[in-house]
Amino acid sequence: MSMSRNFIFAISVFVVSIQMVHAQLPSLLLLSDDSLYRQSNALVLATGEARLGSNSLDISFMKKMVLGGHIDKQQISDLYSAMGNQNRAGYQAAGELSFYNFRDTLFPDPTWGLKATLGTNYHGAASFNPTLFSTIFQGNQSFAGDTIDLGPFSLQTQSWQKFGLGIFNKKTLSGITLSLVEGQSFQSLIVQQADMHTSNTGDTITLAPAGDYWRSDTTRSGWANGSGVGVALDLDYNLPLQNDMGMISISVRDLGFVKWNDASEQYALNHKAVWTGLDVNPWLQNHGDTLSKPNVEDSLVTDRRQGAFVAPLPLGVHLRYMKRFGRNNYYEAGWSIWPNRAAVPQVYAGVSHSFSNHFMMSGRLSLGGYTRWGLGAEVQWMPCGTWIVRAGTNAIGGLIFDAAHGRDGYVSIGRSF
Amino acid sequence: MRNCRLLIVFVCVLSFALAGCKREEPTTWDSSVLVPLAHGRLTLDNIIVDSLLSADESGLWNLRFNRDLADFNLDSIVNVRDTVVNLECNLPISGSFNPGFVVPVDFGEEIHLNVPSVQLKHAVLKSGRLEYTLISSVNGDLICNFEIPGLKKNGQPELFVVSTNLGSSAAPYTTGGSIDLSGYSLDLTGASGTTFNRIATNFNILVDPLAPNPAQVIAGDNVIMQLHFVHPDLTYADGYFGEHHYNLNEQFEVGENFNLPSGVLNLDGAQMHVDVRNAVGIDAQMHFTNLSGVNASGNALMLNHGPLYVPLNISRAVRSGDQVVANTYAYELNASNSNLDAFMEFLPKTLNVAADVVLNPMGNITDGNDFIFTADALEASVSLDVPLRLGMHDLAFADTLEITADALEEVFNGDLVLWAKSDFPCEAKCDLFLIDGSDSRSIVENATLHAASLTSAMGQTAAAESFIHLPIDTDIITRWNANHRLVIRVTLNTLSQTDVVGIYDHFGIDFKLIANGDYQIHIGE
Repeated sequence: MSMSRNFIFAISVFVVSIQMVHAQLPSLLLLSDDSLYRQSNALVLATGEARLGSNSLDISFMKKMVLGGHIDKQQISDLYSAMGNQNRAGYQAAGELSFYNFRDTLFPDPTWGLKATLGTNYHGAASFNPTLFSTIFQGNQSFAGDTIDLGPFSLQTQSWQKFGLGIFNKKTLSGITLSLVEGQSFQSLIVQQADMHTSNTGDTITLAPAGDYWRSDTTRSGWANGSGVGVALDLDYNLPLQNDMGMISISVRDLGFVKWNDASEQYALNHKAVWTGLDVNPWLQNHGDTLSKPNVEDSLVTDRRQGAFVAPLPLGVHLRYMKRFGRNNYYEAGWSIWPNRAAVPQVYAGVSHSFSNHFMMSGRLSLGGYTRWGLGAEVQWMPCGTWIVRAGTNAIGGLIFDAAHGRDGYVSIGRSF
Repeated sequence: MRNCRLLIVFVCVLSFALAGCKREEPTTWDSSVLVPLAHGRLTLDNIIVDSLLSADESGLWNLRFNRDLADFNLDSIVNVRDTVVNLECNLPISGSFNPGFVVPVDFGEEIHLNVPSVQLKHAVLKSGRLEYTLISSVNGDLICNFEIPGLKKNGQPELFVVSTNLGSSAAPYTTGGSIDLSGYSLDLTGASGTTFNRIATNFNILVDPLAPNPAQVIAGDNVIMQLHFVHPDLTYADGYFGEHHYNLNEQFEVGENFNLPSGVLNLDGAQMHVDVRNAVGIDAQMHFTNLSGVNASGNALMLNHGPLYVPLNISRAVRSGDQVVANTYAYELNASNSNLDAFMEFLPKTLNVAADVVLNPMGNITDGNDFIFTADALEASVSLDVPLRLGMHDLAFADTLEITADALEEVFNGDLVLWAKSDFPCEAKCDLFLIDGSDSRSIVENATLHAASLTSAMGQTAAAESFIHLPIDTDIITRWNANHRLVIRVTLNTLSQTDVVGIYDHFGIDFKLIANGDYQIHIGE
């Protein structure tokens, strides 16, 4: 009974504090010689992952943007001078609770079982050029007399919750899950071009964007608020190699869409806005009047449409290949893609050493995604034979050095009954 | 089991580590901005109160100033004081009188109004109250009818009908009431119709027809009507108002609506009108003895215009029914008949006016037919019209503003750049500084707004551009937020002190205010 309370506490704390699900199942579940959990009635697995990265912004900068603090000029200048033509930044966070039913048989084939999942997801990605960064963080003073192009630029954020039911193979844990998606919020700003001109004297700033801005119902907020509804498919295909020599895993996450409700808005940003300062003439002529700020948003937008629209979920596809070498070692290679405007495909390679049937450590080198490269480490552990714990990161440097370009971490905790 | 405890410890440590990741301060950075803040066009009528400024046909601005010189307060002549009168009605015979019987009385009283210095024949009241108290010593129920034929409203004489109950000499019966006198007219010629300040009255008494018993009257019993006129105020009066002498001695600020400048000013074409208007049926004589100004330095200068200082005989107004034809008299002062230009260039801060006024200087020559409508009586006013054709030398305006706005939370280091394009043919130098007691911090000194050059005599100018840099730093923002006072000093100069230039209504200053410096951006507060 005491153990049960601890377990519930642990799971509760985990679900509210961990932000993200690692994309794939813990490999120890598939590679360990101890497959006792498969003979149990059920497996409850909670997983989480948080990922923040950029190929141009460092952790110090991103930390200050998220947690607060003053960003000094030198830091901004250093980042700007090291930027490429087009830069990316993104975050992804989620938490998922999965229930695998090993006891009941779904079909005449006893190897298939039912699973249920509950998860919450947050994703954001931005793609920007150095000029936009410089204009925002260094100002427009150095562009006096020039016309600069702030585009192309994209910023997309999305959050959603999933309530899924699926089937899985009790031997390989391969499976498919169909989820009802509850859309929480969505924003998409895509600007192909945005010419900004600052006059020599600074008396006029002209901005001529060409792009679109879509957003979901802003009157609703909070978890599962009903701003949108959709479906998503998650697939796992795990193929153990012969003679326990390793495995191949393919995972597809969030293949689906959300239909955002009728209160959603779509703006076309295609109007040139000229800013010459507040017009104080009405105030000068009628001394009692108050000055009111013009609405810059209205100046930029020429077409606003309110209504429902459909937007895809941020899809992720992951491939993993692990092969044993020696008695207790594996080498590993993998590939992940997130087909959005910011992220680039990520490849990784690594080695793992299994200290026992219940403990494995891994090291990985990854390249791509939202960040540059990262040296990662992972620990997998099956305490008491009925628990599974996994913790790792794809960027050890991000946990230690503020100059790193990415920080992430993932944790899985599960127990079989 | 040990492993399971380690697991729980692991989860707890992880949870606490993640719980520490929350925003505790805003994200800030300094951005070097070059941003327009405001723009507009400043014209003279934005600065000077509209009622003081008007443009003539050519568009030349004229500064116009009107002021009543004196309040002669003529309604005080016909001021009726609070008046209390006791009208006694004696009952000369004794007897027991049945209900409905008209009791013989001995009564012939008039109301004497307390108006000491005038002889009023007629008046109309705009406010006031008449309180009455009836005191009866008669042992019977009476109905007393007290009429004032000379007090009418809508043509109807005022009649007080007062019922009494049993009274006695030792314990008379007393009752009372009041009426609002607004709109009442008074005939003050008395019962004879030829006197003044008197109002005729009538009194009759009968035993109440509904009384249960006869009234027991003893010769010598009396009924007294006590009247109290409370704060009677007239709107019209006629009669003879008497001969009155006034000494007028008024002083008022010229620059009530704007701060008068210091420095040298050269004006051209100023005009002043002194107007006297008499709407009262009284002859008068007015004699101005002083019209002078005192400038900011305390020096005085008299306005010289010979006719103004000659006694002026003012004829009475003529009345036909309710229509009054007033008599008006005007003095026009200009550069050719007075020292008006010099007087205005002297920049008087205070104007002193002194005059002797005599009403009815020749006595009662109309046999008591003076009249007055108190709302429109004897007035004297001055109007000043100064065409803004100016020559200026270090003409300085200064003002101190209390800073009471919400605190500025912005952090800015750099310049506020004021770009100005002026049509005015005068140069302006501006000083701005913040003060707190003896502590002073200059924002800008001698910032120059260049003068436009004249291209025609009709006020066409070639505008001049100026850039004024106002350096702003954290010290200035701190002082601003500490409720210092902002002192603005503007000094104006025309190209020539002696050659005047016109200021036209199409003149203005186009301006743009631009921020050029490091602005601290805050997000996530």
